[in-house]
Amino acid sequence: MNTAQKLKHYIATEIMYADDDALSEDEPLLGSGIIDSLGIMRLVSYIEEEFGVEVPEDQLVPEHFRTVTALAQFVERLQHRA
Amino acid sequence: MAYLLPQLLAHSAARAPEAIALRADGEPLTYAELEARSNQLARALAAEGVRRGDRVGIYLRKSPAAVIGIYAVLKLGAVYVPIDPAAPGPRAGYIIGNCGIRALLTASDRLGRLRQGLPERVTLDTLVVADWDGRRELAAPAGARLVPWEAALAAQAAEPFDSRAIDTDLAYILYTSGSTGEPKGVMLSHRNALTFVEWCRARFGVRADDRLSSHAPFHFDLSVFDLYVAAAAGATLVLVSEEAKLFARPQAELIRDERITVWYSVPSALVLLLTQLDLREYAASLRLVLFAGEVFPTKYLRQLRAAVPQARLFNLYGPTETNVCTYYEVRDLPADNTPIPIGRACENTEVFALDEQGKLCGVGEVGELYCRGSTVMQGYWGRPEDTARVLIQNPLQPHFRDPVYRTGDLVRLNAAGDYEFLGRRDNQIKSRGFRIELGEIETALYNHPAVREAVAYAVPDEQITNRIYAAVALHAGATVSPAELERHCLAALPRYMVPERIEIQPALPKTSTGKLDRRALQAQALGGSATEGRS
Repeated sequence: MNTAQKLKHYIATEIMYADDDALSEDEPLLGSGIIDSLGIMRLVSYIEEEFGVEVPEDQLVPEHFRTVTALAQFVERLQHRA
Repeated sequence: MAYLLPQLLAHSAARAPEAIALRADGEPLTYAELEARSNQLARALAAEGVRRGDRVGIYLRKSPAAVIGIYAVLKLGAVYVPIDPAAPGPRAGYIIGNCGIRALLTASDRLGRLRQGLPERVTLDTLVVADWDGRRELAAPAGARLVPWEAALAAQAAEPFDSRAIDTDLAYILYTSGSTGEPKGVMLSHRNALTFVEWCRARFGVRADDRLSSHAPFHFDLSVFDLYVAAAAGATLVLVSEEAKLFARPQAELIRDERITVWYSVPSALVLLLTQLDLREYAASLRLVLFAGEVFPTKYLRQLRAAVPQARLFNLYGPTETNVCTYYEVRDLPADNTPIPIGRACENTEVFALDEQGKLCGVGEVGELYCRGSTVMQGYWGRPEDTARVLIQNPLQPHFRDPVYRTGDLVRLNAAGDYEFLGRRDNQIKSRGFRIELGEIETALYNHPAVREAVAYAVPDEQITNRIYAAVALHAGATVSPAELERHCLAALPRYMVPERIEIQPALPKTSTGKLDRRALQAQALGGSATEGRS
């Protein structure tokens, strides 16, 4: 699985408790009830563990978390920086 | 004299039409514009048949449209019913059916949820769609007419609309978790809200040059302070979006960039800011920080005190049914981590505690808190029995009709004359400031065909007050995964009510009287986490 697929799988199964096809990569994740503040924390721990990166506090902003696509680009940038 | 909430806006608009009433994403709206647009929308709703006393749903994100909508409904003498924009369709549908909403203000991305969530035999007549120009094809819930927002407003005059409403009319209904599985609609009048708003203005000295944050969602009663204290003072209200609220940095930047002077939120929102970044660098403009809705852990309150040394801090207390009824100014913090008191009654409000025999409690005695005054609700919509249980004749008053509200909160009066909050008489809990009836979660779990027994329970947490777990036992031969039960709950409940963990057990622990034993499960969970902590 590529980065986006992994993230989609995690959010769909661990946060939405559904199947992968319950979520599209461009679906808005924030403010619609899919992810709340607790969900953000879980997602950040998952990203740090799964992709071996550290998510700095100043990068915890809505822009990076709006969709699976945005999130995947963000994670890939963190990996390049590491 | 203002005796209706929308008069606060009208008066401020007449006094200083060019003052900024509202800012959202950096975009300003003046008092004159807010007044004119809400008058136009009021007339548009009247043209759609909405009348004084009708309930109008507001199913919109935190936005200028939602604020315009709130004032438009009030100007009509109608009753606004804010629905959590993140609520699942069935919960929104329940609220719409429960209080007979026929007209709804919403956005195009909510229509799908509405189509799925409206119960059978519940129909909406009119949906005014904020982000719709009338051209794009949209699917309406069966039987409903879609009205494009801008065109509807443009067709109407901006002159004030006189509804002939009086201050004992209902202004809004706020739905809160219900122990029997269905949310309860708390009915509040203009007078209820205005008594609180007038107290706030006097107590906190809010002025036209103040800039208030609007952090709480509109379906949460903290928003009553934000909206109407700002309007009464002619101050600026700065909306914090649902998106920004999930993260510390955009909120801290909003405080700094919008030069917020008055902040009001649940403690856990402040804890997020305090634990994620150095709030001192952002919060120099704050002169007043108010919090309510849950106990503020003293450890974090100490950090807040240090981060905003220039600001006055107040702990406000009160259920939705009474709005704020006590307050406590934080000066010296206890040296250990004991929680601060909820304080004493607001002016023009009375609170007292009665013990189990109905005797008035003295200093040091534990009792249930009662509240009387003009902020006390009118009842729960369509639930006279539930209303009668909590809105009772003042047991200390034999001579005239004197309704008092039983809070269900256990308190103790300390030697200084301040009440301390000790806990609940029932199974209501708080998590991130949200009020949650564990019974409502259990009802959702029982609604799954595989579930034979279900218990939802709270596990105390330092940052969010409580985490919610649940345990279920299944019918013989039934199988279901915890993930499916989670999904089942997500479809019925707002996310903050969905248990973080659902455990399937062969049988649930019982008390000696045969009742499901919530405490035993709680102790198991606490024991488990203590073990994890050691390893």
